[in-house]
Amino acid sequence: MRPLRLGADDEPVLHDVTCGRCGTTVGVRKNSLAQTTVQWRGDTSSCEELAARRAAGEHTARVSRCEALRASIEAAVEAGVVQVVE
Amino acid sequence: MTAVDDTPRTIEAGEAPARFARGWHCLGLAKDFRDGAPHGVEAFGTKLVVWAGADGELHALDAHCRHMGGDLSDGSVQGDNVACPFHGWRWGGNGKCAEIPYARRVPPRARTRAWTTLERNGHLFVWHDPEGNPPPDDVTIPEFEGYGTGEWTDWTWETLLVENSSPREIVDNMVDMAHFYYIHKGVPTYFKNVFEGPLCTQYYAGTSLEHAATGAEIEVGQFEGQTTKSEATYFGPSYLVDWLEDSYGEMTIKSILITCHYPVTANSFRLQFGIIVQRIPGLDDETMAKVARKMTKLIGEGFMGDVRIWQKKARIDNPLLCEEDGPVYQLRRWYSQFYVDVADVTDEMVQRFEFEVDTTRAVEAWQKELVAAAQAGSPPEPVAATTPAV
Repeated sequence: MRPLRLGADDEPVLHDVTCGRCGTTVGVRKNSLAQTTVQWRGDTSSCEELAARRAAGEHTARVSRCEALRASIEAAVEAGVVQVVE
Repeated sequence: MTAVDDTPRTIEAGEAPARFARGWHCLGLAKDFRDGAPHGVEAFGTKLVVWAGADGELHALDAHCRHMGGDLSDGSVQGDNVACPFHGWRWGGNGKCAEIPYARRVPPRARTRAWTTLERNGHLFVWHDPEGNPPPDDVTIPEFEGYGTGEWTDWTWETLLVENSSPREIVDNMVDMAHFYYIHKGVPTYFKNVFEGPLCTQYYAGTSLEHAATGAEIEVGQFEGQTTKSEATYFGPSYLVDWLEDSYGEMTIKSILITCHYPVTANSFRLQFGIIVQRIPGLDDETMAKVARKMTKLIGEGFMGDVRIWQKKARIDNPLLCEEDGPVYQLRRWYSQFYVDVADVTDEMVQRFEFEVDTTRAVEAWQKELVAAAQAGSPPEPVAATTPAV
C-alpha cells in the first residue's frame, strides 16, 4: 500500500483546545456548529473520563466522547478561540 | 484572494495493497465446521483446510499437503488429525505430521503452516499476520453478554463472494453518511465516528423514509430518540459488530448484526453477515426466528445495493469530499495500520480521532425530496428496518 496522502482540502486546520478537567490538549476543527473534529495526540491515558471507562473494562473506541472535553470545546467556540468555518 | 483552481480533478486509482490485512478474520459459524468432515476455505490468496478434531477443537492448516500437494479438504478426519486423500499422511492442528500409516517414521521436518484459531460467540476466526507473529493478548474479539444463554436467537448467516473489488470499499462505508440514504433507504440524523487503536466505531441514529415523507419534524444531532440506533465497531480490519436498536411504536427490537469479510484473492473477498435478536417477552421461538430471518433478508438486500455500486465504481485514492461527508481520509489512515508491519504502525494511524457529521442540511434536503415524491403520488416503499454501519 502506498503511503496515504491527505489532500490539502482534506487536511483540516486544527485549533488547540485544552480540557479544563485534566489539561489534555487536542486539535479541534468546527466546519459548522453541529460538526466537530477532534484529533487526539498521544494516547488517551491523561483523560480521566476515558481512563475510568478503560479501567472499568470498556474499549475507549466505544466511548463517544469525554464530557469535560466537550464542555471545554464548546467554551472555546463561544470564546472565539475555535472559529467555526462558515 | 486565491484564485480557485478550475482544472478538472483526476481520479487517482492507486493500487490495492500487495498484502492481506493483519488481524482476526471470521471464517463463518463454528458449528458449520463441526460435521466431521474437513472443509476447504479459499482465503488470503491460498486455501485452508478447517476441521474439528475428535476433541471438538477447531483447527486450520494450509490445505495443500506438504508431501505431494494433495488437497487435505478432500481428505478425512481421523481422530484429532486430518488425513490427506492422496497418500494418507495425517496432520495435527499444530501443523506437525502426526503419522504416515505406511511409513516407519515421520520425516523430522514434516511441518506445514498452522493458522491460529479462535472460537467466540459461535464464530470461528483465524489470525492472519504476514510477519508470522502470534496474536497479541490485547487484540481479540469481545464476548457478547448473554450469547448462548437462550436470551438471543441463533445466528442467521449469509455469505457473498464479491469479485473485482477490495475490502476497503466495505470499510469505507463506516464513515459514509450519505450513502445510507441513497443505498440503504435510511435518513441518518446523527452520525459520528471514533477511531482509536485497532478499533473504529460508528454511531448512527436515523429515521425511516416513510416517516420523513410525512413531513413530520425531525430532530437532528441527537443519538437518542430516533427509530434506529446503532453502535457499530470494527474490532480489527474485518469484523464489524453492530449493536442495533429498532423501535416500532412501543416495541424495541435489539439485535447484534455481524458484518465481516476475509480476502480470497488480491481483488476478491467473501462478505458474510448474520444477526442475533434479543428475545422479546411474549414471542415464541418460531416468531423470533422469523423476525431474525426477515431482518437478515432486508440486510442482504442492502448489501446487494452496496455490491451493485462496488461492481461498477472506480477505485479512488483521492475522493473529493464536501463538509457533510465523513472522514474518509482519516478512516483510511486508521485502516492502513493493518497493512504495514507492526514496527511501521505510526502514531497517526492509531491515535484517537473523533468526527461528528452535521446532518442538518442532509436531512432537510432528503425530507424535502421525500415529501415532494409522496405528494406526487410515489411515497417510499415501506421498509421494516434500515441497515446502518454498512
